Amino acid sequence: MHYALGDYVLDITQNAVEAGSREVVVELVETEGGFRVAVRDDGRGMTRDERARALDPFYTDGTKHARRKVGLGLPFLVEAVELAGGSWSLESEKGVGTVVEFDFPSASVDSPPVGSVPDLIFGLLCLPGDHEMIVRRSGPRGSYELRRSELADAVGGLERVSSLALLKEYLASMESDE
Amino acid sequence: MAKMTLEQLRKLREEKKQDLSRREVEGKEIQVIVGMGTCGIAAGAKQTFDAIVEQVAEAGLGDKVVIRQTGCMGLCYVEPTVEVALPGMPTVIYGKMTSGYAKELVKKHLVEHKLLDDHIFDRPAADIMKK
Amino acid sequence: MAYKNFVLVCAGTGCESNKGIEIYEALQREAEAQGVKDDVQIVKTGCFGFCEKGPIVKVLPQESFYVEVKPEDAKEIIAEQVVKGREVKRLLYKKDAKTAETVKVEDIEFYQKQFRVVLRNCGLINPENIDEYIAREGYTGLEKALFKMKPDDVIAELKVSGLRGRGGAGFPTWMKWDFTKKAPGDVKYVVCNADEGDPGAYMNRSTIEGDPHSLIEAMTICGYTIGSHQGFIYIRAEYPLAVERLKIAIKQAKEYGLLGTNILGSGFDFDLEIRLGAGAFVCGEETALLQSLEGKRGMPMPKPPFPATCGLWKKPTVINNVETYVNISAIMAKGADWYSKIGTEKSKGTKTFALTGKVANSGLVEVPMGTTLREIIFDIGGGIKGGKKFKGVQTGGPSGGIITEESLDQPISYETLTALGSMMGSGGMIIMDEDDCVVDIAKFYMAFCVDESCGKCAPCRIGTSQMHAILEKITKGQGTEEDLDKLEKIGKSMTKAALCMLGGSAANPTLSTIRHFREEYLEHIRDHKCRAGKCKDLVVYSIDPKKCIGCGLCARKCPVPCISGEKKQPHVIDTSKCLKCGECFKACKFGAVVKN
Repeated sequence: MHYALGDYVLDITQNAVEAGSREVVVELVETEGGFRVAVRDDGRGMTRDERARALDPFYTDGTKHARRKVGLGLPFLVEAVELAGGSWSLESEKGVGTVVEFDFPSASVDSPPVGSVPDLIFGLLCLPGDHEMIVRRSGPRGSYELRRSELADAVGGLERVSSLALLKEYLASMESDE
Repeated sequence: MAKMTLEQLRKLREEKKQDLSRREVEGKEIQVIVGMGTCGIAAGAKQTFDAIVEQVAEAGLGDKVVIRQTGCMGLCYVEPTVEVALPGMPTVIYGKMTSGYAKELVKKHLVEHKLLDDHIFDRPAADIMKK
Repeated sequence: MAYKNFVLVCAGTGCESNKGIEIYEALQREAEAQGVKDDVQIVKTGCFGFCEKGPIVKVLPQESFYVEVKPEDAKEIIAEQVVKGREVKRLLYKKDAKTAETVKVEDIEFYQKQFRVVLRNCGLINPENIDEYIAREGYTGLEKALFKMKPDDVIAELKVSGLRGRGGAGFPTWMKWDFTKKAPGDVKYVVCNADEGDPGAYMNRSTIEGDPHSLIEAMTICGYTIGSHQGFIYIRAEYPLAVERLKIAIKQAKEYGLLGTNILGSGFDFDLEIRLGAGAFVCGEETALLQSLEGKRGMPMPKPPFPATCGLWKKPTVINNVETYVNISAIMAKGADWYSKIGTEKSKGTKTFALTGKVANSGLVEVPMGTTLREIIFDIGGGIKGGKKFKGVQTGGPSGGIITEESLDQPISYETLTALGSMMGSGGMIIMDEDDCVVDIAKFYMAFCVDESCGKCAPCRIGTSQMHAILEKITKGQGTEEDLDKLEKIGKSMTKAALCMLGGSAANPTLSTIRHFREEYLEHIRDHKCRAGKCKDLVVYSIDPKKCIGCGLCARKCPVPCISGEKKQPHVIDTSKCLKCGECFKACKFGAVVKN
C-alpha cells in the first residue's frame, strides 16, 4: 500500500487520465475532520460488471499495460480507507465517465499522512496526455483552482525541466501564507 | 514567498527565457522517463521524479532536459525505475532509483556522461515499450 | 514386463541444480545405446534426503547407493550394473574417504536412526506418476474415510494418533479440525500453508516435490471431515518445481476421480486451487496468509477470532502445515494406533529436519520424536565438518534460540525445545562451530526480521530495527554494556506485545545467545575482539616481520592495495585502508599474516 495520502490520489487520477478523458477534475478538501478527495473524469467509464471487477486486485483491463497481471490502485485505496474507518464510493457509467470519492478521518491512527500538497498537485499536473485537468484545493491556507492548460501555457509546456521547476515554485507559493 | 498570480508566473518565465537565450544551448535534449505505475508510486517514484527535477534545475540543465512520467515499465521488482536517453550514450533503464540517488544520477550520468553501474537493469520487453 | 533393474535418480531441487536431470537423460540414452532399454526402468524420484552427497542414484535390487554422481558416470552404471550385474564401487557411498570401505544402504549412518513417515515415498516413487503413489497405499486413507467412516470418526482417529501441528505451534490437530467442523456455516475452507519462509528450511519443499499426492489426499480428507468443498494450497513462488509437480498431481488426481466432483463415486465434491506467495515471510503466519489469499496485503489479524471460526473470507477454515497433512494421509492409511507408538508421550510421530550449516552430512532427515539432538547432529549428521568444535545449534529459524553442548542429550519434543529457550519451529536446524560468531548470527536473524516485518504493530516495527542497530554497533566494536541491558529490555517487551509470532519471537536468537554466550558479547564490547573472526571491523590483519620474507605475494593479492614493502624486506599492511577481505591471510605461505 502507499505511504502518503497524496500517493493514493495520484494513483486514482492516473486511472482517470488513462481512461481517455478529455477533462479530469480533482477536488482536495482538507478540514479539521479529515481529508476528502473526489476525482471525476469523462473517460470511457465502466459497465456494472467492470466496476465490480475493478475492485479485484487480480483484475486489470488488459489494455492499459500489456503484460501486467494485477490492478492494484483501487484495491489499495479501498483497503487503506476501510482500515482507517473512512468512506469511499465508486460510480461509473459506460461511455460517460467515472467518479471516485473517498475520505480519511484525521482522528484515525491508521489514516496515512497527507504528505506535501504542492508535490501532489505537481504530480497530478505532470500526468502525461492531452487532457485538461482542473484541481480545486481547499485547505488551511485558503482555496484555489488550477487549470493544467493555463499553467502549461504560463511555464512553457510540462516537459522541460526548466518549465517544471517554475511550476513547482508556483505551486509551493499557493500553499504559503499570504 | 508570497502567493503568485498567473500573471506573475508568466512574467517570471519570460525573464528566465531571456536569461537562457544568452547562453549557448548545444546538442539535442536529454530525455528522462520515470515509471509511475502503482508499483512505482508505492516504491517512492514520485519523490524520485521531484528530486530529479530539483537536481537538474540546480545543475543548470533545466532547459536541456525533458522529463516525463509513464505507467508501469514492467520492472516492478526494482521500482523506482528511471530511463535516461542522452544523445551519444546508450539508453539505459535504471532500477532502485529512490530519491536519494537523484543527485548522483544528474552529476554522473547527465553531467559527466558516465553510467551508474550499480543501478542498470534491462531494457523492458519490446511489447511493453511499443504501447 | 519384468525389469531386471530399477534405477532411481533423485530429482529434488537440490540434485536437479547439480545436473540431476542430465544424469537421468544420460542413463536413458545409455540404456538405449547399450541395448538394455527393456531390462531397466529409470525413474525420477523425490528427495532422498542425503543432500550433502548429491546427486544421488540408487539401483535396485542390489540397493546400490551411488553418491556425487556425474552425467558421465551413466555409461559405466549401465554397462557394469545393468548389463553385467556388477556394482560400480567407486561411486558407492563410503563412510570414510580414506578407507574406501563401502557401506550398505541400511548401514549408512545417515539413514540408520531415521524413520521416514512424512518422507515415506520420497526417493521411492516417481512423483509425476499417480499410479506409483497408489501402489504404496496411496488414497487408501481417503477411501476409508469416505466409505467406512463418518467425520467424527476421522477426528477420533486423529485424537488417538496424538498428531500435533507441524508448522511450529504444535496445536493438537484433532482439536483444530473439531472446532472448524462444529463452527456454524455451509461454506468452509481447507488451506495448506506451504509458504515455508524460515531461512534454511526446505522440508516442505522436498515433501511436495517428492510426494505431492500425500498432501492432496489429506486435504480432501480434511474437506470431508469438516464439511468443506474447496481447498487452497498457498505455496511460495520460490518453489517452482514443487508448484509444477503439484499441478501435475492435481490434474492426475482429477482424471482418476480422486479429486473434483463425486470423488470415487461417494457423492462428495472437493476442489483444490494453488495460490502463489510473493516473497513475504510474514505470509507464513496463518492470519496474514489468509489476508494474502484474499488479495490483500499480508498483515496479521488479532486472534481471537481464530481461523477455525472466522478464517478465509470470514468463513470457518482449517489451516495446517504441509507436514501435518502428509502425516494425516499416513495415519489414515496405516491407522492411528500404529502412529501413536512412534515418538514420546506428548509429542507423537516423527519430525523432519533440514540439517544444514557446519555439519558433515547436511540434508533432510526424519526422526521419531524423542531422538536426542546429539544423535541427530553427530550420528546422523556425522558431526562437525572439518573436525572443528561444536558451538551450538539453532532450531526454529529466526524464531528460535540457540542450544548448546550441555543440552544435546535432551530428547526432541515440543516441550523440551521450548524449555531450552528455543522452539521446534518448522524444522530448520542450523549447526554452528567455533568459526561462527553468535553476535553476527543474532544480527543476521534480526536483519531478516527488520526486512520481513509488516509494520503493522509498533513493538515489532520499531523493536526489530532498534535491536538490529544495537547489534550492528556491537559488531563494529562500538557497543557498551548498557546495550546488553537494552537488548534484553526491548526484546522482552517485543515478545510480550507484538501482534503476531514474527515480532513475538524475533528477539529469541538475540536473547538466547546473550544467555548462553554473554562472555562473547562482552568480548566484542570490552575487548573489541571477535573470537570467531567473523566481525570484520574487529578483525585486524598485520604482518609478523619475523616471519615475512618479503616475497610480495600478499601485496599482489591485495585488492586495495594497502600492503607496502621492498622486495625481500618485511611488508606492512596499512590498517586504515584495509578492507579485511583476508586475501593476504589466505595467500601467505609462511604464516606471516596474522589475524587478530
